[in-house]
Amino acid sequence: MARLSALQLYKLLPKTNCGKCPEKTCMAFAMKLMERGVKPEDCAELKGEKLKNLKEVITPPVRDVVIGNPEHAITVGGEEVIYRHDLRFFNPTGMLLDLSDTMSEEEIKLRIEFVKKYQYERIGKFLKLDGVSVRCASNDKEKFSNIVKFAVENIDKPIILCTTNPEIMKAGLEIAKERRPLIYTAIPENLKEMFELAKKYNCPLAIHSENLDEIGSMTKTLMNARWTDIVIDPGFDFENLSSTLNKFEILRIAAIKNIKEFSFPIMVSTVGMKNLNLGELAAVSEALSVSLCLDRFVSLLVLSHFSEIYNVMETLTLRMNIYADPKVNPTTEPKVYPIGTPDENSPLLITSNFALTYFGVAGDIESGKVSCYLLVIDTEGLAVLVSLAGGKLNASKIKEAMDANQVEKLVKHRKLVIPGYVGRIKGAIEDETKWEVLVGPQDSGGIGDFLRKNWTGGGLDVKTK
Amino acid sequence: MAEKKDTEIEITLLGLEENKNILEKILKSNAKIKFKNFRLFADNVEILFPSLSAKKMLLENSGSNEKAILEKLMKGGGAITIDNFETSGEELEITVPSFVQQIITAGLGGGMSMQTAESAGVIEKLLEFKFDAAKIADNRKTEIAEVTLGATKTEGGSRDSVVKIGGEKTMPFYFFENPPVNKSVISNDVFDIPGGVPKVVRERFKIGDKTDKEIMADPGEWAKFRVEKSHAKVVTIHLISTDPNVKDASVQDAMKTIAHILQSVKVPIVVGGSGNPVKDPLIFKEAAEMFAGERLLFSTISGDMEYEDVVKACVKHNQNLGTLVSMNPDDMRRLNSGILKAGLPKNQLAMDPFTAGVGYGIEYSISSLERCRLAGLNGEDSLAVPIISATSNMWAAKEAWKKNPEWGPREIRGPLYEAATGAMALLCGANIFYSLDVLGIELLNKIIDSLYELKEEKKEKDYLSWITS
Repeated sequence: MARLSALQLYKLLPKTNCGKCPEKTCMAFAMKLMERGVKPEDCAELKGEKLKNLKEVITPPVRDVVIGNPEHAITVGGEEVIYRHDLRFFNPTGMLLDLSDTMSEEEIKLRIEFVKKYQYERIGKFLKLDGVSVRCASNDKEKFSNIVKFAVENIDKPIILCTTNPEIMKAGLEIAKERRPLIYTAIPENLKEMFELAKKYNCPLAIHSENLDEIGSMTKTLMNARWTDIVIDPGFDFENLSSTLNKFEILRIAAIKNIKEFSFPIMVSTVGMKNLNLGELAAVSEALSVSLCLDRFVSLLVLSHFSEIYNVMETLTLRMNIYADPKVNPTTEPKVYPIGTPDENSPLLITSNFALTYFGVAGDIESGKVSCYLLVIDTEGLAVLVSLAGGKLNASKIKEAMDANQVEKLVKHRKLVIPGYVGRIKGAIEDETKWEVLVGPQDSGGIGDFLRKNWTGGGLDVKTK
Repeated sequence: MAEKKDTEIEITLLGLEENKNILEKILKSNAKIKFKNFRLFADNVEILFPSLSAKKMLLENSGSNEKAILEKLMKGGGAITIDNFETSGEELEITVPSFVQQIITAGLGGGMSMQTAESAGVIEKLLEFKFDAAKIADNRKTEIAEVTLGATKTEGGSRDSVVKIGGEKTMPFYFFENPPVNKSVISNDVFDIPGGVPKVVRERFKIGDKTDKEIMADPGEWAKFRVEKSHAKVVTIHLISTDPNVKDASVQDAMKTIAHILQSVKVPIVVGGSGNPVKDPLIFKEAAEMFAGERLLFSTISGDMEYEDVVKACVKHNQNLGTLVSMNPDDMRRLNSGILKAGLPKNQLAMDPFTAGVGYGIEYSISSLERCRLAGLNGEDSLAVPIISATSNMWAAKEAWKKNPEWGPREIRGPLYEAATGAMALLCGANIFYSLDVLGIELLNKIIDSLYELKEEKKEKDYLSWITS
């Protein structure tokens, strides 16, 4: 469905500017609605059929499915475009760790603890896994029930229950129902029973088939029964990535082009990769698979490896990148930042205003235990190397920033320390600024040592109060 | 967080943006609530019921006690006062009866499902569905130019093999529109002087008795190592020593190095400059003449370089030229247009819209590559050329090479970052990669191999066995 304009949405609102919601006018509400800053329910005056109508109208071409209870839910899908630059991707791929009822108690505890505790900080944000997926590998209802119970009691993040046996699924749902888990998975053979469970427990339902016609057949059947809380699993084959990705692409593009049977988020599990005998490359192969899935429209993933941290770290970082709003550059305000306790003798350093660069450099200077002024130059949010290649960081920009921030009043000396990568335009900077230029290390981790070795003139120590 | 008691449930709403909306909606109280940097003033607690039928269903599912309260609530226009209320620090805690939580579930997120659940029908039989890929296939206007790297003796060069890149008719791996034409290729990095290569990468520079030092001391040996160890189909010689700020090696020195590489290996060669805007064009022009007919790829010309003479030499001596613009498709189009106007045939041009690494702006690269390729396929001639991805840029990031036990062993972490960065570029249309690490190259090659051909799917469907494995 084509995106509705704010004006079209406005027509569906009460148009009373009642002031009961935080927006000043209904038009402002419509604009927020378009950007998903508010939900239709946020309108105090819209009720009944009109609310339902508005909800239907703003349903994205890839429907959004909520897994979990309101306190701990993830929304998957809800996407509107094929390419992120056309708008943005909205709901970051849910990444859940695999638990099996044949794992030892110790292993299960370890895995749950990991999901609860692990976080990786980037640009002031903490990246984490989203929950656990519990599967019945034993084919034993008791065993499965026990581990579901253990998971429910020990972690409050979203849960997926995995078995194709409706009876075992029912036992799991009875325990986990208040958590509103994803039911994984319906297949043509058990669709009827799994659907009844989804209805009874009001939980979203995954369907699986590797065949697109069969997928469409199942979703069509469910939609005919007025059920739309569906996630599609078309399968994942590491040894046949072409066929796997081709299906992801078809599902997403078809959804955007209004083929209703495919208008649902995609999920896969990479757990099966452990049967491929990939040896010491098992974890790295999974990380690469997950990376491909993240870039190719997969909204929900069940992961196998966790103890090889690089695996989790790389994929969480990539997810943050892909789902970042392309309209917003993560930047830091371009100005002079004093780090430590600088005085008029302290070094003056420059860097780019890409947020990650700034955080990294500032952190490294602090841990290097030196005082200095850090002049952040407006490179339009690009990192040093990129901005240098793209002409966003050049001698005249540096001169401009130095003048605008009146650095000549800040320090007595006339020496500028530049990042190693900028060394290539050292001459140009000297000509432009008439300052002496010291080429610092390429990696900011070496700044402390570099300055202690090369900086003369004092002002380097961090004074304690 | 949600601590369940018999009849009461405690909800803690933490300072997440989405919870702000929940708060606004379900709680209106006389109190002033501090909620991170957000303040809420309100008078009455109010709960909105999603629909009449949802109300009915709630009533049906409630015990008699709850039912009474619910009925009262519903009569009162859906307003409720929550008594036990306290604030603590940055968190807000409210004690509400468990059935209220149910109402909240019904009103938020789960609201739609609630409606679905109560109105859902039954399944009698599976309905038929037939998918037709033609319905979603796009008509592309232009094909990407096919560029040939290297020339054999009969073609006027000295290579044993040639490599073709480009020629695509669709976005990458849209098999439902068209299969890919030429397999993307990894050109293995060789530098004309050692240094600058992270230790963790050097550790895999070993073959036979040769050490990394011996391999890196001689660019010819390094190139041979690439072909022997990684079966490199293309090798890049980066002439970094020619940078006036590095060693300022002369144009003639650079020619000697290129000649040495051409003698040492028989695969096509990419000639990389130092990025110096004055020196690179001089080197490319000289090399185009000296190694006439070899179909080298000069990498790269950027917007601040004088390129007319280089283009003329490439046309005359049958060489390929690469262009570089940092993440700006409009500037890329301008630069390429200029070069095509200066006379370079489209099938001798490739472009580098810049590949940033995972965590270091790769999202800009994804969009930049995709926009260039889409524009190329949709009729923008100057962008209908193969894409270069200098993947090894990502080694500038410490996540790739730094020793840090919290990040796992760098021996695999670094190659993962390189292969993942390359894989993203591959999905966005990259035709040739410049890669550095031996394992990173192996991993990226595996992905390229697995992606290029649409294989028959396995007859026995065993994907779901992941559940029981």
